[in-house]
Amino acid sequence: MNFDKIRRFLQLLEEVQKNKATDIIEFELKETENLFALITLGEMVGYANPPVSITLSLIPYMEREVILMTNRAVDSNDKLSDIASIMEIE
Amino acid sequence: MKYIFFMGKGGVGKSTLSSLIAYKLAKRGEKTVLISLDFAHNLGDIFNMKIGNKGVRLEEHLDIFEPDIDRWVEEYLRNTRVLIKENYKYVSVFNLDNMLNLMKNSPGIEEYAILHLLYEKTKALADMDYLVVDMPPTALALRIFALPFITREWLKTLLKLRKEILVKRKRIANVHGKEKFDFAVDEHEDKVYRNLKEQEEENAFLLKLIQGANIIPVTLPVQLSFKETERILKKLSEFKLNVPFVIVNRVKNDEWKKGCVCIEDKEVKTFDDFKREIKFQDFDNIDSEILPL
Repeated sequence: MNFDKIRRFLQLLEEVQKNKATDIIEFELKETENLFALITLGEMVGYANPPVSITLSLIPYMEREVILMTNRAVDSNDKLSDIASIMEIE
Repeated sequence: MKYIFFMGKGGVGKSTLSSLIAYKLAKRGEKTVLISLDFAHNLGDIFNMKIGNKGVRLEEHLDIFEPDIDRWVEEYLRNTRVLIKENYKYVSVFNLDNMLNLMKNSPGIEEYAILHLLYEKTKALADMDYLVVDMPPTALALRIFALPFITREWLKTLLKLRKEILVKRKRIANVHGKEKFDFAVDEHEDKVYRNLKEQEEENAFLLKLIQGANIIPVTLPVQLSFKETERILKKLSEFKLNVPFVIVNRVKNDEWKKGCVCIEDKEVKTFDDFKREIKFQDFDNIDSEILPL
């Protein structure tokens, strides 16, 4: 029983360490993906855009980015909290 | 295959000259394709027959096509819609019909449609000797020639950015395990990356085609038309495209026999600034004058 508790505790510890290790990369990834979405799909929200041929050819494969971009637009007032959570500011 | 593009202001005789050259080439035994990339096709009027999308074999060595560009755009958007529906789990993230209607009239879609049609035709007819293209009027024709150059730069940037995304994804997946994520981490399994590479391949083909082609501006012996031709030459020079000479069409009274035309009492033998000779619509001489491209 005690071993189980210790094992669960160690698993939790490992998970926490793993998350800490990738927090910043994950934030960077989200930002880069969002940038990629804004560049390629920017026309839909009024940004300068690449040739429409590139956009049309890519859009069927960019659901993840479309969702990310839409969510970012909704959360755009909450950028500070994104940064704060990475810096571990409560 | 050798490529010859005729371009110039509307009404200068691009279609007539391209038809003539294509016909002469075919008569000489060269397997020739004549294609009109103008929205307002008139090859059918010149040859007095209905040509259309599927094309017509006019002579043993001459095939003519008048692709329906509007229909192609509509078909392409329909296919994109189907692909989106196939690939998206939550199509409702944006209004698909609205987006595609917007794209239909987006600047650049016509140029892309025309270039893609050219790509498909060239691939399908790879065993032909000559492809003679009757281009749309100047503004659109120049945008068509410019598009592969612009696309090349965009694709370079996007591929670099996509690679960065994949590297970051891989780092995260290495720590947490790939199975926890629904995104692709390798270049070969990322559909976006693969699509960019496919676009890069098609674009490189088109760039090579355009850079290896002979582009022949057609003009009339009047000042407005000459001025526009100078602008065409300037633009084509910026892209370092091959312009062997300019054809001056409809020169009256055998004036061409002097080897020059008069524009506002000034004799013109060449477009000096661009080091381009002028040639004339002398149909008897056309074999020796124009065909050795």
